[in-house]
Amino acid sequence: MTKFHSKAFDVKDSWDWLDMAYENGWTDGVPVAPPTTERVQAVIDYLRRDPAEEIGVVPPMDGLATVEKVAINCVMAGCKPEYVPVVLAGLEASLDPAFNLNGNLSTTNPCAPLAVVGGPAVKKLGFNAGDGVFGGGARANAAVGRALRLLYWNLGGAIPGVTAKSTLGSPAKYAYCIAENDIGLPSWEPLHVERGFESDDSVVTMFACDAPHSVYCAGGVERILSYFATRLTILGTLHFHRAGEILAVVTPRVVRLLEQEGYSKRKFHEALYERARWDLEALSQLPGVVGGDDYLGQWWGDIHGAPSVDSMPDKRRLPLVQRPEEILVVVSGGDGQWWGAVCPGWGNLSQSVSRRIVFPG
Amino acid sequence: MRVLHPGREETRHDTRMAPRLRSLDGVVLGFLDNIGYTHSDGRRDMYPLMAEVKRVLEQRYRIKGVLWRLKPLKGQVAPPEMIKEVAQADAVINGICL
Repeated sequence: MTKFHSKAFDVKDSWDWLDMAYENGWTDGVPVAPPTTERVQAVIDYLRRDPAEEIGVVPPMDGLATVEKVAINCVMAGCKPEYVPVVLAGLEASLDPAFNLNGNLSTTNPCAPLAVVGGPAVKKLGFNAGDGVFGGGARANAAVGRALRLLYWNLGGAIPGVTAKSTLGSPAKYAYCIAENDIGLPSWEPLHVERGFESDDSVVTMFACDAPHSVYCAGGVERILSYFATRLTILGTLHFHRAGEILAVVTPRVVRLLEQEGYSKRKFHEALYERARWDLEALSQLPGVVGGDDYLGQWWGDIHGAPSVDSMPDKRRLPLVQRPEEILVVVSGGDGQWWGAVCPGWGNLSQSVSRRIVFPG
Repeated sequence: MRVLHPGREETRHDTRMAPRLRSLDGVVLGFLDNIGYTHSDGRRDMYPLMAEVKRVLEQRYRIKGVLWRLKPLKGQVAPPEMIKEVAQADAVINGICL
């Protein structure tokens, strides 16, 4: 048996543990499984890593994430040992400075870190990439999403009203993990392949975003493109104020139709980029929307050395983002109808980050 | 049943309180501004509420000097060199955010 570094407590039973977890603030409200030494040991044995190995420091309260602490929180979330490498990859991705975890756990915005799992791990570990992908029904999605949240909670100290200042919060803050539905169309590469990983790599991409806004887009390609473009250009989303990545989720039925009509994934990115535009002239009819201190026009020009709004040749067609691939596209969900979704991101305050999942050799 | 502590037992966060000042008289006051304010001619200035706090404090105390730094992005931690600069002040007021 490993000599654990974390303090140990003896409890009578699971209910005794649960009372202790609530009293000590070790859960965000959802009941958690007891992290018994035996269960945590099983995770350590599977990983074959030193429990004291440091993964990183989790903001906002800078708790030290070791392999042992990750294992403990994974057990509480209901993870099987083989899910834990997915959690580790997600945690490492979200600790990349570009992701700005400190900011997106503390902001007044309702964004939450979304884990998108792609590659062979989806089928191997039983992630749901079909019906109900955003919520309900699959242990892998729920447990991995919960484990990441518990790490942000217990190590990061992201407590609503204290350090987490999201005015509304979000159901996505309990667990937020989806998987890519790779339907095998060569012209529709999974997200991780678009980002330079091998197709047989398993990868987690972390993206800070709102809960999904659904898009019903039956009626052909023209409707798919125009409805998505409309959904992407909603006033009040943060990417209106600060242009940054946005996620478009398309279901397999929609993708197959697009592909039949000659739309590769690349062409779909480009079509959304071309159609989803801010019309500054129209928006300027709304008082204070364009050119004010806190609105479009100030922010777009600040980003990544982008040209200022004033220098844009066509003010009726201001792009949402600088490059088509900044509208992330993920194939996921079931086949039953013509649904899609848009998850607005946290503007330019965070960038999505992908990490390969490393399973024990 | 033996269970393990899931939370922060080790932290890299230095949570010690800074030494308290006896008075603001004679101090250099730092302002770490998250948002700032843009004048119509494009000049950047202190966020109005922060500017009002500064005005009131200058009125009430003999403030020796003011050090104002504007963060490049409000949702991100200030760059280390900016924190180092503003830490030259005797006390720092940090805000405002959205």
